[in-house]
Amino acid sequence: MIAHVQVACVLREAVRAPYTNLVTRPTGVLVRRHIEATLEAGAPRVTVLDFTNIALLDCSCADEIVVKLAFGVDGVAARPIVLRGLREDQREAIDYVLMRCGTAVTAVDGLDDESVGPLDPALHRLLADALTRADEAEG
Amino acid sequence: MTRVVEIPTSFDDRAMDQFAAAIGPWPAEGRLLFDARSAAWASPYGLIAMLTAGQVLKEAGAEKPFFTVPANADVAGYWARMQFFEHAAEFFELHGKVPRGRAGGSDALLETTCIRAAEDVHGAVERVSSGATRILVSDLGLQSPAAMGFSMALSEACQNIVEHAGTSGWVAAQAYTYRRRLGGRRVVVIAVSDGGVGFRRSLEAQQARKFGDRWRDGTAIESALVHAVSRFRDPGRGQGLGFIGKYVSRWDGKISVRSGTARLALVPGWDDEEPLAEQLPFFPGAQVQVTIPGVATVSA
Repeated sequence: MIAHVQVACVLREAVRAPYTNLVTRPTGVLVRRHIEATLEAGAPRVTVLDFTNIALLDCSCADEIVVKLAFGVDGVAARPIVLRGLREDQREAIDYVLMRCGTAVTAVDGLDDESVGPLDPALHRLLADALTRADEAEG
Repeated sequence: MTRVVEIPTSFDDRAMDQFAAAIGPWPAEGRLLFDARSAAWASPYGLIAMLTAGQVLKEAGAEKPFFTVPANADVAGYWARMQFFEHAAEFFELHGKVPRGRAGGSDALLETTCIRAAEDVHGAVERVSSGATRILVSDLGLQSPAAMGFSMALSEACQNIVEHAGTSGWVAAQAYTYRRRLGGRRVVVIAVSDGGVGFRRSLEAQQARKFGDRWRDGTAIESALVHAVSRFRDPGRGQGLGFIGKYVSRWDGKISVRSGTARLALVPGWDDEEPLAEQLPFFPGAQVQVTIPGVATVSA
């Protein structure tokens, strides 16, 4: 139902190099395709992208990974994305590239996470419950 | 016939037009001699502009130009530590005493570095990231997001070479003190240069018809820098320069883009450059400089 993606792990697997910076468009494309392949297998309703341990996120990777996962490569498809572990500069990069979609990163009520894409009230409740349970289990 | 190209004594972005004029029309005719004996200083912008000129001449099949090394040992030593001569030897026949440049031996944020592919951008960002944070926060008194933004700006500027230039290019970054401008404040500077197709040719297929007679180097730079226009159909493209513009505005910085015969700059209050300069002496490709001033002043 909810897919958790550790972006730093995907980056290491996708580029087969010890990079911690999500920079350049080819890198963003590789990472997105890895994530899409994982999501296609599970067909989750919500995807949590965890940016913990990512040092730098540039606009190219913000566009390739967050925007194109949320709105599709063609800009038509829509997938709810929850963003976790973002720093201020990373959030700014994502917000900057989201401007062309007429949207922005928004906070998920009651959680530290933020979201991009269609998150209707029912999906929001489902997400909040599931993430709260997961946090309690970890804690 | 050998023609002498005088290297500006103090070669920074403001001396670029003088350098371009000294080279003359492209493709340059005859064998050139780049005379740097009187050079007293060169910024990262100046160093990579010289490398760009040499690279373009080589790619055009011109006879390998001569290059005379600065007579001042300190100046030549700095250029060597910036890895300038290491790269220049590929494009120029060097004359004079060339000091040895040890990799990592300079205090630069990033020595002159060739950008050919996305891997090179990764390498440049990895190298600059830790140094940028230390210098921007400790030395210049800026906040941490400014340091992260600096590395992002470097990444975006370098990617323009890989995606648009059609050839390889150069990047260098350095922190130094503005003695005349900014009342002695420290600044960090990123300089990026390539000798590729330039903004006008890169965007011509999509934009030229829209602008008609007004389509020239200046309008092409404006399309990319101000309106985020890209030659790609993907609407997610073309945002890199726009992001740099937003970043420099937030931190009272400056971005200057020169391509062909024009230069467009987003000019902060502390600088007196004209926002748009046209009909400049032609220089191939594109040259970008990003300048971020610090908060702290340096005592003389």
